[in-house]
Amino acid sequence: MNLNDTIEKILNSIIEDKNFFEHKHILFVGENTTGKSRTIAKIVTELFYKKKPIYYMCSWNRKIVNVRNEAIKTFKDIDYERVIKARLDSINYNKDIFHDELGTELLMNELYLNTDKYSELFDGFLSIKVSKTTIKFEKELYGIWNEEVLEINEGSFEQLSDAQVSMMRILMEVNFAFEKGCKYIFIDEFDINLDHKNSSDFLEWLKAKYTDIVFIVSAQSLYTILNLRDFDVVKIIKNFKSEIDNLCVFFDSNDLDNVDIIDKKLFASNYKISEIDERLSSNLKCILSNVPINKKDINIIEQSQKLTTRQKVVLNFIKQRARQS
Amino acid sequence: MKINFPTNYEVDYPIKNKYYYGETFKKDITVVLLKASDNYCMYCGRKLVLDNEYYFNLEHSIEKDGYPGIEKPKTPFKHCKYNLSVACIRCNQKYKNKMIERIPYNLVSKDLNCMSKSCNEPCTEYLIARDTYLKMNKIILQPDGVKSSKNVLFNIQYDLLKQIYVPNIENTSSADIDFIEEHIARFNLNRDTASTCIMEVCELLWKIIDLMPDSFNIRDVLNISREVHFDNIIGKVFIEYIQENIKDMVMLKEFCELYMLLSYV
Repeated sequence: MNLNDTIEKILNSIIEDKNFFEHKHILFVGENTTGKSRTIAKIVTELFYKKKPIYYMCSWNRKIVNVRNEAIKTFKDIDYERVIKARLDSINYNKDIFHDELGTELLMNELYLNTDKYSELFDGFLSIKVSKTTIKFEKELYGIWNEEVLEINEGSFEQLSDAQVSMMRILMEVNFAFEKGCKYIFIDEFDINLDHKNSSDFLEWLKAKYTDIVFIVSAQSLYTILNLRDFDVVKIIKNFKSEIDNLCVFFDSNDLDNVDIIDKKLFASNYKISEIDERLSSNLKCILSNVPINKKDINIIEQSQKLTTRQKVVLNFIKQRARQS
Repeated sequence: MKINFPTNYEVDYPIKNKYYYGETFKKDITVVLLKASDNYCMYCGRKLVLDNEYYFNLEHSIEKDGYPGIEKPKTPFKHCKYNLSVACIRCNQKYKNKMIERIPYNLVSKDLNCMSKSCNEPCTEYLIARDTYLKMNKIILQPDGVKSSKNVLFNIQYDLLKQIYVPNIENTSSADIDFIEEHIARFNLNRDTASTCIMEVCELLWKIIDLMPDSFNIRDVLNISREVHFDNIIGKVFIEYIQENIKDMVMLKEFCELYMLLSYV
Protein backbone atom coordinates (compact mmCIF):
# COMPACT_ATOMS: atom_id res chain seq x y z
CA MET A 1 0.00 0.00 0.00
CA ASN A 2 1.51 3.38 -0.87
CA LEU A 3 1.55 6.40 1.40
CA ASN A 4 -1.41 8.03 -0.31
CA ASP A 5 -3.63 4.97 0.18
CA THR A 6 -2.42 4.66 3.76
CA ILE A 7 -3.42 8.27 4.51
CA GLU A 8 -6.86 7.58 2.98
CA LYS A 9 -7.24 4.47 5.09
CA ILE A 10 -6.24 6.26 8.30
CA LEU A 11 -8.64 9.12 7.53
CA ASN A 12 -11.48 6.66 6.95
CA SER A 13 -10.76 4.80 10.15
CA ILE A 14 -10.86 8.06 12.14
CA ILE A 15 -13.95 9.49 10.40
CA GLU A 16 -15.83 6.20 10.85
CA ASP A 17 -14.38 5.75 14.36
CA LYS A 18 -13.02 2.29 13.54
CA ASN A 19 -9.71 0.52 14.17
CA PHE A 20 -7.01 1.20 11.60
CA PHE A 21 -5.91 -2.45 11.49
CA GLU A 22 -6.01 -4.05 14.89
CA HIS A 23 -5.99 -0.86 16.94
CA LYS A 24 -6.89 2.82 16.96
CA HIS A 25 -3.52 4.13 18.12
CA ILE A 26 -0.99 4.51 15.31
CA LEU A 27 2.78 4.90 15.32
CA PHE A 28 4.82 5.93 12.26
CA VAL A 29 8.43 4.89 11.76
CA GLY A 30 10.76 5.32 8.82
CA GLU A 31 14.02 6.89 7.79
CA ASN A 32 14.41 10.65 7.68
CA THR A 33 12.69 12.32 4.71
CA THR A 34 10.28 9.43 4.13
CA GLY A 35 7.43 11.84 4.87
CA LYS A 36 6.35 10.95 8.40
CA SER A 37 5.85 14.56 9.49
CA ARG A 38 4.13 15.58 6.27
CA THR A 39 1.86 12.53 6.51
CA ILE A 40 0.78 13.52 10.01
CA ALA A 41 0.31 17.15 8.92
CA LYS A 42 -1.77 16.01 5.91
CA ILE A 43 -4.06 13.88 8.06
CA VAL A 44 -4.38 16.68 10.61
CA THR A 45 -5.25 19.21 7.87
CA GLU A 46 -7.97 16.98 6.41
CA LEU A 47 -9.51 16.26 9.80
CA PHE A 48 -9.21 19.86 10.94
CA TYR A 49 -11.31 21.13 8.05
CA LYS A 50 -13.79 18.33 8.69
CA LYS A 51 -14.11 19.79 12.22
CA LYS A 52 -12.99 16.63 13.99
CA PRO A 53 -11.89 17.02 17.65
CA ILE A 54 -8.15 16.70 17.06
CA TYR A 55 -5.01 18.21 18.51
CA TYR A 56 -1.55 18.44 16.94
CA MET A 57 1.99 18.95 18.22
CA CYS A 58 4.83 19.29 15.75
CA SER A 59 8.40 18.25 16.50
CA TRP A 60 9.67 21.68 17.54
CA ASN A 61 7.10 22.06 20.34
CA ARG A 62 9.21 20.56 23.09
CA LYS A 63 10.63 23.50 25.01
CA ILE A 64 9.38 25.73 27.78
CA VAL A 65 11.17 29.05 28.01
CA ASN A 66 11.61 30.39 31.49
CA VAL A 67 10.55 33.98 30.77
CA ARG A 68 7.19 35.27 31.84
CA ASN A 69 5.13 38.27 30.91
CA GLU A 70 2.07 39.32 32.86
CA ALA A 71 0.37 40.51 29.70
CA ILE A 72 0.62 37.16 28.01
CA LYS A 73 -2.23 34.67 28.21
CA THR A 74 -2.73 31.16 29.54
CA PHE A 75 -4.46 28.09 28.08
CA LYS A 76 -7.76 29.41 29.47
CA ASP A 77 -7.71 32.28 27.02
CA ILE A 78 -7.07 30.38 23.81
CA ASP A 79 -9.01 27.77 21.87
CA TYR A 80 -7.38 24.67 20.52
CA GLU A 81 -8.54 25.22 16.94
CA ARG A 82 -6.43 28.38 16.75
CA VAL A 83 -3.40 26.41 17.96
CA ILE A 84 -3.80 23.80 15.23
CA LYS A 85 -4.51 26.39 12.55
CA ALA A 86 -1.38 28.30 13.48
CA ARG A 87 0.71 25.11 13.54
CA LEU A 88 -0.52 24.05 10.12
CA ASP A 89 0.25 27.46 8.65
CA SER A 90 3.52 27.23 6.70
CA ILE A 91 4.46 30.69 7.92
CA ASN A 92 4.97 29.20 11.38
CA TYR A 93 7.17 26.34 10.17
CA ASN A 94 9.85 25.67 12.77
CA LYS A 95 8.41 28.33 15.10
CA ASP A 96 6.87 27.76 18.48
CA ILE A 97 3.56 29.58 18.41
CA PHE A 98 3.44 29.78 22.20
CA HIS A 99 6.63 31.77 22.16
CA ASP A 100 6.27 35.49 21.46
CA GLU A 101 8.60 38.09 19.97
CA LEU A 102 9.64 39.27 23.42
CA GLY A 103 10.98 35.81 24.26
CA THR A 104 8.21 35.11 26.75
CA GLU A 105 6.01 32.12 26.79
CA LEU A 106 2.38 31.22 27.34
CA LEU A 107 3.33 27.90 28.91
CA MET A 108 5.42 29.52 31.62
CA ASN A 109 2.48 31.77 32.48
CA GLU A 110 0.20 28.75 32.52
CA LEU A 111 2.55 26.90 34.88
CA TYR A 112 3.06 29.91 37.10
CA LEU A 113 -0.61 30.63 37.57
CA ASN A 114 -1.66 26.99 38.10
CA THR A 115 1.11 25.47 40.20
CA ASP A 116 -1.17 23.18 42.23
CA LYS A 117 -2.84 21.73 39.16
CA TYR A 118 0.45 20.98 37.41
CA SER A 119 2.14 19.64 40.53
CA GLU A 120 -0.59 17.05 40.72
CA LEU A 121 -0.43 16.32 37.00
CA PHE A 122 3.37 16.00 36.83
CA ASP A 123 3.51 13.92 39.98
CA GLY A 124 1.92 10.96 38.17
CA PHE A 125 4.85 10.16 35.89
CA LEU A 126 7.50 12.83 36.19
CA SER A 127 7.68 13.20 40.00
CA ILE A 128 7.96 16.94 39.55
CA LYS A 129 6.55 19.41 42.07
CA VAL A 130 5.91 22.95 40.89
CA SER A 131 5.77 25.82 43.37
CA LYS A 132 6.45 29.53 43.69
CA THR A 133 9.16 31.21 45.70
CA THR A 134 10.41 34.74 46.23
CA ILE A 135 13.97 35.53 45.33
CA LYS A 136 15.88 38.66 46.24
CA PHE A 137 17.70 40.22 43.27
CA GLU A 138 20.44 42.78 43.50
CA LYS A 139 22.02 44.73 40.66
CA GLU A 140 24.17 47.82 40.75
CA LEU A 141 22.05 49.92 38.43
CA TYR A 142 18.63 48.78 39.57
CA GLY A 143 19.16 48.27 43.26
CA ILE A 144 17.54 45.50 45.28
CA TRP A 145 14.15 43.99 44.56
CA ASN A 146 12.17 40.83 45.26
CA GLU A 147 10.66 38.68 42.54
CA GLU A 148 8.41 35.66 42.65
CA VAL A 149 9.77 32.82 40.48
CA LEU A 150 8.77 29.29 39.64
CA GLU A 151 10.46 26.55 41.59
CA ILE A 152 10.73 22.93 40.47
CA ASN A 153 11.31 20.30 43.14
CA GLU A 154 12.71 23.10 45.30
CA GLY A 155 15.32 23.88 42.65
CA SER A 156 15.40 26.22 39.71
CA PHE A 157 13.56 25.59 36.45
CA GLU A 158 16.89 25.59 34.56
CA GLN A 159 17.98 22.43 36.37
CA LEU A 160 15.42 20.36 34.47
CA SER A 161 16.79 18.11 31.75
CA ASP A 162 15.64 18.37 28.12
CA ALA A 163 13.79 15.08 28.58
CA GLN A 164 11.87 16.36 31.60
CA VAL A 165 10.93 19.58 29.83
CA SER A 166 9.85 17.64 26.73
CA MET A 167 7.59 15.41 28.80
CA MET A 168 6.20 18.37 30.76
CA ARG A 169 5.39 20.16 27.53
CA ILE A 170 3.71 17.10 25.99
CA LEU A 171 1.76 16.46 29.16
CA MET A 172 0.61 20.09 29.45
CA GLU A 173 -0.60 20.17 25.88
CA VAL A 174 -2.22 16.72 26.00
CA ASN A 175 -4.04 17.77 29.16
CA PHE A 176 -5.10 21.02 27.49
CA ALA A 177 -6.43 19.11 24.48
CA PHE A 178 -8.22 16.66 26.77
CA GLU A 179 -9.89 19.49 28.71
CA LYS A 180 -11.02 21.02 25.43
CA GLY A 181 -12.62 17.72 24.44
CA CYS A 182 -10.18 16.51 21.77
CA LYS A 183 -10.37 12.80 20.92
CA TYR A 184 -7.36 12.37 18.60
CA ILE A 185 -3.94 13.71 19.47
CA PHE A 186 -1.18 13.79 16.85
CA ILE A 187 2.39 14.16 18.10
CA ASP A 188 5.22 14.30 15.60
CA GLU A 189 8.59 12.89 16.73
CA PHE A 190 7.20 11.86 20.10
CA ASP A 191 10.50 10.50 21.44
CA ILE A 192 12.73 13.56 20.88
CA ASN A 193 15.02 13.91 23.92
CA LEU A 194 13.56 10.80 25.59
CA ASP A 195 15.73 7.87 26.64
CA HIS A 196 15.21 4.19 25.87
CA LYS A 197 12.94 3.71 28.88
CA ASN A 198 10.93 6.90 29.00
CA SER A 199 10.05 6.87 25.31
CA SER A 200 7.61 3.98 25.56
CA ASP A 201 6.75 4.17 29.27
CA PHE A 202 5.62 7.79 28.94
CA LEU A 203 3.44 7.05 25.92
CA GLU A 204 1.90 4.06 27.69
CA TRP A 205 1.29 6.19 30.78
CA LEU A 206 -0.44 8.89 28.70
CA LYS A 207 -2.57 6.21 27.07
CA ALA A 208 -3.58 4.83 30.48
CA LYS A 209 -4.32 8.28 31.93
CA TYR A 210 -6.33 9.56 28.97
CA THR A 211 -8.17 6.41 28.05
CA ASP A 212 -10.59 8.07 25.64
CA ILE A 213 -7.87 9.69 23.57
CA VAL A 214 -6.39 8.08 20.47
CA PHE A 215 -2.68 8.81 19.99
CA ILE A 216 -1.20 9.06 16.52
CA VAL A 217 2.53 9.63 16.79
CA SER A 218 5.78 9.27 14.91
CA ALA A 219 8.98 8.02 16.55
CA GLN A 220 12.64 7.30 15.81
CA SER A 221 13.73 4.95 18.56
CA LEU A 222 13.51 1.19 18.56
CA TYR A 223 12.82 1.37 22.30
CA THR A 224 9.68 3.45 21.82
CA ILE A 225 8.18 0.44 20.08
CA LEU A 226 9.58 -2.24 22.38
CA ASN A 227 7.17 -1.81 25.29
CA LEU A 228 4.27 -0.31 23.40
CA ARG A 229 0.90 -2.07 23.49
CA ASP A 230 -2.09 -1.76 21.16
CA PHE A 231 -0.57 0.37 18.43
CA ASP A 232 -0.67 -0.26 14.71
CA VAL A 233 2.87 0.46 13.51
CA VAL A 234 3.27 1.93 10.02
CA LYS A 235 6.73 1.66 8.51
CA ILE A 236 7.23 4.06 5.60
CA ILE A 237 9.81 2.91 3.06
CA LYS A 238 11.59 5.34 0.80
CA ASN A 239 11.34 4.37 -2.86
CA PHE A 240 13.13 7.42 -4.26
CA LYS A 241 10.35 8.19 -6.79
CA SER A 242 7.92 10.49 -5.07
CA GLU A 243 6.77 10.76 -1.50
CA ILE A 244 3.19 9.65 -2.14
CA ASP A 245 4.54 6.51 -3.84
CA ASN A 246 6.56 5.52 -0.76
CA LEU A 247 5.35 2.13 0.36
CA CYS A 248 3.97 1.36 3.79
CA VAL A 249 4.17 -1.89 5.72
CA PHE A 250 2.07 -2.52 8.81
CA PHE A 251 2.83 -4.27 12.06
CA ASP A 252 1.05 -4.85 15.34
CA SER A 253 3.08 -3.38 18.23
CA ASN A 254 1.99 -6.32 20.39
CA ASP A 255 4.01 -8.64 18.09
CA LEU A 256 7.10 -6.45 18.30
CA ASP A 257 8.31 -7.50 21.73
CA ASN A 258 11.93 -8.27 20.96
CA VAL A 259 14.77 -5.87 20.12
CA ASP A 260 16.17 -8.12 17.40
CA ILE A 261 12.80 -8.50 15.67
CA ILE A 262 12.10 -4.75 15.76
CA ASP A 263 15.59 -4.01 14.50
CA LYS A 264 15.32 -6.53 11.68
CA LYS A 265 11.80 -5.67 10.57
CA LEU A 266 11.72 -1.91 11.12
CA PHE A 267 15.19 -0.47 11.18
CA ALA A 268 17.88 -2.64 9.54
CA SER A 269 18.84 -0.83 6.36
CA ASN A 270 20.11 -3.97 4.69
CA TYR A 271 16.78 -5.68 5.25
CA LYS A 272 15.33 -4.37 2.04
CA ILE A 273 12.63 -6.33 0.32
CA SER A 274 11.26 -5.61 -3.12
CA GLU A 275 8.26 -3.46 -3.96
CA ILE A 276 6.28 -6.62 -4.73
CA ASP A 277 7.17 -7.97 -1.27
CA GLU A 278 6.04 -4.75 0.41
CA ARG A 279 2.69 -4.92 -1.38
CA LEU A 280 2.28 -8.60 -0.51
CA SER A 281 3.17 -7.90 3.10
CA SER A 282 0.66 -5.08 3.58
CA ASN A 283 -2.13 -7.07 1.89
CA LEU A 284 -1.37 -10.15 3.95
CA LYS A 285 -1.74 -7.89 6.98
CA CYS A 286 -5.18 -6.84 5.62
CA ILE A 287 -6.22 -10.50 5.34
CA LEU A 288 -5.02 -11.34 8.84
CA SER A 289 -6.75 -8.28 10.30
CA ASN A 290 -9.93 -9.00 8.38
CA VAL A 291 -9.96 -5.72 6.47
CA PRO A 292 -10.42 -5.40 2.68
CA ILE A 293 -7.30 -5.89 0.57
CA ASN A 294 -6.00 -3.27 -1.86
CA LYS A 295 -7.06 -4.62 -5.27
CA LYS A 296 -4.81 -2.17 -7.10
CA ASP A 297 -1.81 -3.77 -5.37
CA ILE A 298 -2.93 -7.28 -6.33
CA ASN A 299 -3.28 -6.22 -9.98
CA ILE A 300 0.23 -4.75 -9.96
CA ILE A 301 1.64 -7.96 -8.44
CA GLU A 302 -0.22 -10.18 -10.93
CA GLN A 303 1.13 -8.17 -13.85
CA SER A 304 4.67 -8.79 -12.70
CA GLN A 305 6.27 -11.47 -14.87
CA LYS A 306 8.90 -12.68 -12.46
CA LEU A 307 7.37 -13.77 -9.19
CA THR A 308 9.48 -15.91 -6.89
CA THR A 309 8.09 -19.10 -5.37
CA ARG A 310 7.44 -17.42 -2.05
CA GLN A 311 5.70 -14.49 -3.76
CA LYS A 312 3.45 -16.91 -5.68
CA VAL A 313 2.60 -18.80 -2.48
CA VAL A 314 1.72 -15.61 -0.60
CA LEU A 315 -0.24 -14.17 -3.54
CA ASN A 316 -2.29 -17.38 -3.83
CA PHE A 317 -2.99 -17.31 -0.11
CA ILE A 318 -4.17 -13.68 -0.24
CA LYS A 319 -6.41 -14.30 -3.28
CA GLN A 320 -7.88 -17.46 -1.79
CA ARG A 321 -8.67 -15.78 1.54
CA ALA A 322 -10.02 -12.64 -0.15
CA ARG A 323 -12.45 -14.81 -2.14
CA GLN A 324 -13.61 -16.54 1.03
CA SER A 325 -14.30 -13.33 2.94
CA MET B 1 9.87 -24.31 17.02
CA LYS B 2 13.60 -23.80 17.41
CA ILE B 3 16.58 -25.42 15.74
CA ASN B 4 20.11 -25.64 17.10
CA PHE B 5 22.74 -23.54 15.37
CA PRO B 6 26.09 -25.38 15.58
CA THR B 7 28.30 -23.85 18.28
CA ASN B 8 31.06 -26.44 18.35
CA TYR B 9 32.73 -28.78 15.86
CA GLU B 10 34.47 -32.15 16.25
CA VAL B 11 37.89 -31.82 14.64
CA ASP B 12 40.11 -34.79 13.80
CA TYR B 13 43.38 -33.07 14.74
CA PRO B 14 46.78 -34.32 13.56
CA ILE B 15 48.79 -35.45 16.60
CA LYS B 16 52.11 -33.79 15.79
CA ASN B 17 52.60 -30.11 16.49
CA LYS B 18 53.78 -28.07 13.56
CA TYR B 19 53.97 -24.41 12.53
CA TYR B 20 50.37 -24.62 11.44
CA TYR B 21 50.03 -20.94 10.67
CA GLY B 22 53.17 -21.03 8.50
CA GLU B 23 52.79 -21.44 4.75
CA THR B 24 54.21 -25.01 4.74
CA PHE B 25 51.77 -26.61 7.18
CA LYS B 26 48.76 -24.29 6.94
CA LYS B 27 47.11 -26.67 4.52
CA ASP B 28 47.29 -29.61 6.98
CA ILE B 29 45.18 -27.88 9.61
CA THR B 30 42.91 -26.14 7.11
CA VAL B 31 41.82 -29.46 5.61
CA VAL B 32 40.72 -30.93 8.96
CA LEU B 33 38.98 -27.74 10.08
CA LEU B 34 37.07 -27.36 6.80
CA LYS B 35 36.09 -31.01 6.97
CA ALA B 36 34.76 -30.54 10.51
CA SER B 37 32.68 -27.50 9.56
CA ASP B 38 31.64 -28.91 6.18
CA ASN B 39 33.07 -25.79 4.50
CA TYR B 40 30.99 -23.34 6.52
CA CYS B 41 32.17 -20.43 8.68
CA MET B 42 32.40 -21.69 12.26
CA TYR B 43 31.06 -18.38 13.60
CA CYS B 44 28.21 -17.25 11.33
CA GLY B 45 27.62 -20.47 9.38
CA ARG B 46 28.11 -18.87 5.99
CA LYS B 47 29.29 -20.96 3.03
CA LEU B 48 33.06 -20.63 2.47
CA VAL B 49 33.15 -22.07 -1.05
CA LEU B 50 32.01 -20.15 -4.05
CA ASP B 51 32.53 -21.38 -7.60
CA ASN B 52 34.93 -24.04 -6.32
CA GLU B 53 37.07 -21.40 -4.69
CA TYR B 54 37.54 -21.03 -0.97
CA TYR B 55 37.05 -17.67 0.69
CA PHE B 56 38.03 -17.91 4.35
CA ASN B 57 40.61 -17.03 7.00
CA LEU B 58 42.35 -19.16 9.58
CA GLU B 59 41.05 -17.56 12.74
CA HIS B 60 42.98 -17.39 16.03
CA SER B 61 40.82 -17.79 19.13
CA ILE B 62 43.48 -16.00 21.21
CA GLU B 63 44.94 -13.26 19.05
CA LYS B 64 48.28 -14.12 17.49
CA ASP B 65 49.69 -10.61 17.89
CA GLY B 66 48.74 -7.14 18.98
CA TYR B 67 50.58 -6.14 22.11
CA PRO B 68 51.57 -2.64 21.11
CA GLY B 69 54.72 -1.25 22.73
CA ILE B 70 56.21 -4.67 23.49
CA GLU B 71 59.19 -5.50 21.39
CA LYS B 72 59.23 -8.88 19.70
CA PRO B 73 56.20 -10.28 21.55
CA LYS B 74 56.27 -14.03 21.88
CA THR B 75 53.32 -15.71 20.27
CA PRO B 76 53.08 -19.20 21.74
CA PHE B 77 49.58 -19.83 20.39
CA LYS B 78 50.10 -18.52 16.88
CA HIS B 79 50.66 -21.99 15.46
CA CYS B 80 48.74 -23.98 18.12
CA LYS B 81 46.23 -26.22 16.35
CA TYR B 82 43.68 -25.87 19.17
CA ASN B 83 43.76 -22.09 18.79
CA LEU B 84 42.73 -22.18 15.11
CA SER B 85 39.35 -22.27 13.41
CA VAL B 86 37.97 -21.49 9.95
CA ALA B 87 35.89 -18.34 9.58
CA CYS B 88 34.62 -16.14 6.81
CA ILE B 89 36.59 -12.98 6.17
CA ARG B 90 33.93 -10.77 7.73
CA CYS B 91 33.78 -12.72 10.98
CA ASN B 92 37.57 -12.96 11.30
CA GLN B 93 38.56 -9.46 10.29
CA LYS B 94 35.58 -7.46 11.49
CA TYR B 95 33.61 -9.04 14.30
CA LYS B 96 36.31 -11.16 15.94
CA ASN B 97 38.94 -8.46 15.54
CA LYS B 98 37.36 -5.27 16.89
CA MET B 99 36.51 -4.45 20.52
CA ILE B 100 38.54 -7.34 21.89
CA GLU B 101 40.04 -7.17 25.38
CA ARG B 102 43.63 -8.46 25.37
CA ILE B 103 44.59 -10.99 28.01
CA PRO B 104 47.54 -10.12 30.32
CA TYR B 105 50.88 -10.27 28.53
CA ASN B 106 52.34 -12.77 30.99
CA LEU B 107 49.85 -15.38 29.72
CA VAL B 108 51.09 -15.19 26.16
CA SER B 109 54.74 -14.42 26.79
CA LYS B 110 55.89 -17.86 27.87
CA ASP B 111 58.18 -19.81 25.62
CA LEU B 112 56.40 -23.15 25.46
CA ASN B 113 58.85 -24.85 23.10
CA CYS B 114 56.18 -27.29 22.01
CA MET B 115 56.79 -27.48 18.27
CA SER B 116 58.79 -30.68 18.52
CA LYS B 117 56.18 -32.36 20.71
CA SER B 118 52.86 -34.06 20.04
CA CYS B 119 49.60 -32.98 21.70
CA ASN B 120 46.39 -34.97 22.14
CA GLU B 121 44.68 -32.19 23.96
CA PRO B 122 45.18 -28.49 24.70
CA CYS B 123 47.91 -27.84 27.29
CA THR B 124 47.25 -26.24 30.70
CA GLU B 125 48.92 -22.97 29.62
CA TYR B 126 46.56 -22.69 26.67
CA LEU B 127 43.49 -23.53 28.73
CA ILE B 128 44.37 -20.89 31.37
CA ALA B 129 44.87 -18.28 28.65
CA ARG B 130 41.60 -19.31 26.97
CA ASP B 131 39.65 -19.14 30.23
CA THR B 132 41.05 -15.70 30.94
CA TYR B 133 40.13 -14.62 27.42
CA LEU B 134 36.56 -15.86 27.91
CA LYS B 135 36.20 -13.92 31.13
CA MET B 136 37.15 -10.79 29.23
CA ASN B 137 35.39 -11.43 25.92
CA LYS B 138 31.97 -12.99 25.54
CA ILE B 139 32.66 -15.04 22.44
CA ILE B 140 31.76 -18.68 21.83
CA LEU B 141 35.23 -19.63 20.63
CA GLN B 142 35.49 -22.20 17.87
CA PRO B 143 35.85 -25.03 17.07
CA ASP B 144 35.49 -26.28 20.65
CA GLY B 145 32.66 -24.00 21.75
CA VAL B 146 32.34 -22.77 25.32
CA LYS B 147 30.84 -24.56 28.31
CA SER B 148 28.91 -23.01 31.18
CA SER B 149 29.79 -23.49 34.84
CA LYS B 150 27.36 -26.44 34.79
CA ASN B 151 29.42 -27.99 31.99
CA VAL B 152 26.71 -27.43 29.40
CA LEU B 153 27.75 -26.19 25.96
CA PHE B 154 26.56 -22.67 25.16
CA ASN B 155 23.95 -23.11 22.55
CA ILE B 156 22.35 -20.75 20.01
CA GLN B 157 18.98 -21.57 18.50
CA TYR B 158 17.14 -20.28 15.46
CA ASP B 159 13.57 -19.44 16.38
CA LEU B 160 11.54 -20.44 13.33
CA LEU B 161 8.48 -18.43 14.37
CA LYS B 162 10.28 -15.21 15.21
CA GLN B 163 12.93 -15.84 12.54
CA ILE B 164 15.82 -14.71 14.71
CA TYR B 165 18.75 -16.30 16.56
CA VAL B 166 18.24 -16.56 20.31
CA PRO B 167 20.19 -18.15 23.20
CA ASN B 168 19.05 -21.59 24.28
CA ILE B 169 17.74 -20.77 27.73
CA GLU B 170 17.33 -24.35 28.91
CA ASN B 171 19.65 -25.08 31.86
CA THR B 172 21.25 -21.69 31.31
CA SER B 173 21.79 -19.04 33.98
CA SER B 174 21.02 -15.39 33.26
CA ALA B 175 24.77 -14.60 33.16
CA ASP B 176 25.23 -17.33 30.54
CA ILE B 177 22.29 -16.00 28.53
CA ASP B 178 23.99 -12.58 28.57
CA PHE B 179 27.18 -14.23 27.29
CA ILE B 180 25.34 -15.90 24.39
CA GLU B 181 23.35 -12.75 23.59
CA GLU B 182 26.56 -10.75 23.39
CA HIS B 183 28.04 -13.36 21.03
CA ILE B 184 24.92 -13.14 18.81
CA ALA B 185 25.16 -9.33 18.83
CA ARG B 186 28.93 -9.31 18.18
CA PHE B 187 28.65 -11.52 15.11
CA ASN B 188 25.52 -9.66 14.02
CA LEU B 189 23.69 -12.94 13.51
CA ASN B 190 20.36 -11.13 13.35
CA ARG B 191 21.51 -8.27 11.17
CA ASP B 192 24.51 -8.11 8.80
CA THR B 193 25.10 -11.83 8.83
CA ALA B 194 21.41 -12.77 9.10
CA SER B 195 20.68 -15.68 6.82
CA THR B 196 17.77 -16.09 4.45
CA CYS B 197 18.78 -19.70 4.00
CA ILE B 198 15.78 -21.30 5.76
CA MET B 199 13.44 -19.44 3.46
CA GLU B 200 15.41 -20.73 0.47
CA VAL B 201 15.22 -24.29 1.81
CA CYS B 202 11.42 -23.92 2.18
CA GLU B 203 11.16 -22.63 -1.39
CA LEU B 204 13.31 -25.50 -2.63
CA LEU B 205 11.28 -28.16 -0.79
CA TRP B 206 8.01 -26.60 -1.96
CA LYS B 207 9.23 -26.61 -5.57
CA ILE B 208 10.42 -30.23 -5.35
CA ILE B 209 7.04 -31.33 -3.93
CA ASP B 210 5.23 -29.31 -6.59
CA LEU B 211 7.25 -30.73 -9.49
CA MET B 212 7.76 -34.35 -8.47
CA PRO B 213 5.28 -37.16 -9.07
CA ASP B 214 2.98 -38.34 -6.27
CA SER B 215 5.04 -41.51 -5.88
CA PHE B 216 7.76 -39.43 -4.21
CA ASN B 217 7.89 -39.62 -0.46
CA ILE B 218 9.31 -37.22 2.09
CA ARG B 219 12.60 -39.10 2.30
CA ASP B 220 13.14 -38.67 -1.47
CA VAL B 221 12.42 -34.95 -1.22
CA LEU B 222 14.88 -34.49 1.64
CA ASN B 223 17.54 -36.58 -0.11
CA ILE B 224 17.35 -34.37 -3.19
CA SER B 225 17.63 -31.26 -1.03
CA ARG B 226 20.69 -32.67 0.75
CA GLU B 227 22.58 -32.53 -2.56
CA VAL B 228 22.51 -28.74 -2.32
CA HIS B 229 25.33 -26.98 -0.49
CA PHE B 230 23.27 -24.30 1.19
CA ASP B 231 24.41 -20.70 1.66
CA ASN B 232 24.44 -21.21 5.42
CA ILE B 233 24.91 -24.21 7.68
CA ILE B 234 21.50 -23.46 9.22
CA GLY B 235 19.95 -24.83 5.99
CA LYS B 236 21.65 -28.17 6.54
CA VAL B 237 20.49 -28.29 10.18
CA PHE B 238 16.98 -27.32 9.11
CA ILE B 239 16.74 -30.32 6.76
CA GLU B 240 17.60 -32.60 9.70
CA TYR B 241 14.95 -30.85 11.81
CA ILE B 242 12.35 -31.55 9.11
CA GLN B 243 13.41 -35.19 8.87
CA GLU B 244 12.85 -35.62 12.61
CA ASN B 245 9.63 -33.66 12.96
CA ILE B 246 7.62 -33.85 9.75
CA LYS B 247 6.49 -37.22 8.48
CA ASP B 248 4.04 -36.37 5.79
CA MET B 249 4.35 -34.66 2.34
CA VAL B 250 1.14 -32.64 2.68
CA MET B 251 2.23 -31.42 6.08
CA LEU B 252 5.68 -30.52 4.74
CA LYS B 253 4.21 -28.48 1.90
CA GLU B 254 1.90 -26.67 4.32
CA PHE B 255 4.80 -26.08 6.71
CA CYS B 256 6.86 -24.53 3.91
CA GLU B 257 3.92 -22.33 2.89
CA LEU B 258 3.38 -21.25 6.47
CA TYR B 259 7.05 -20.35 6.79
CA MET B 260 6.92 -18.26 3.62
CA LEU B 261 3.76 -16.50 4.86
CA LEU B 262 5.37 -15.84 8.24
CA SER B 263 8.22 -13.95 6.66
CA TYR B 264 5.71 -11.48 5.23
CA VAL B 265 3.93 -10.78 8.51
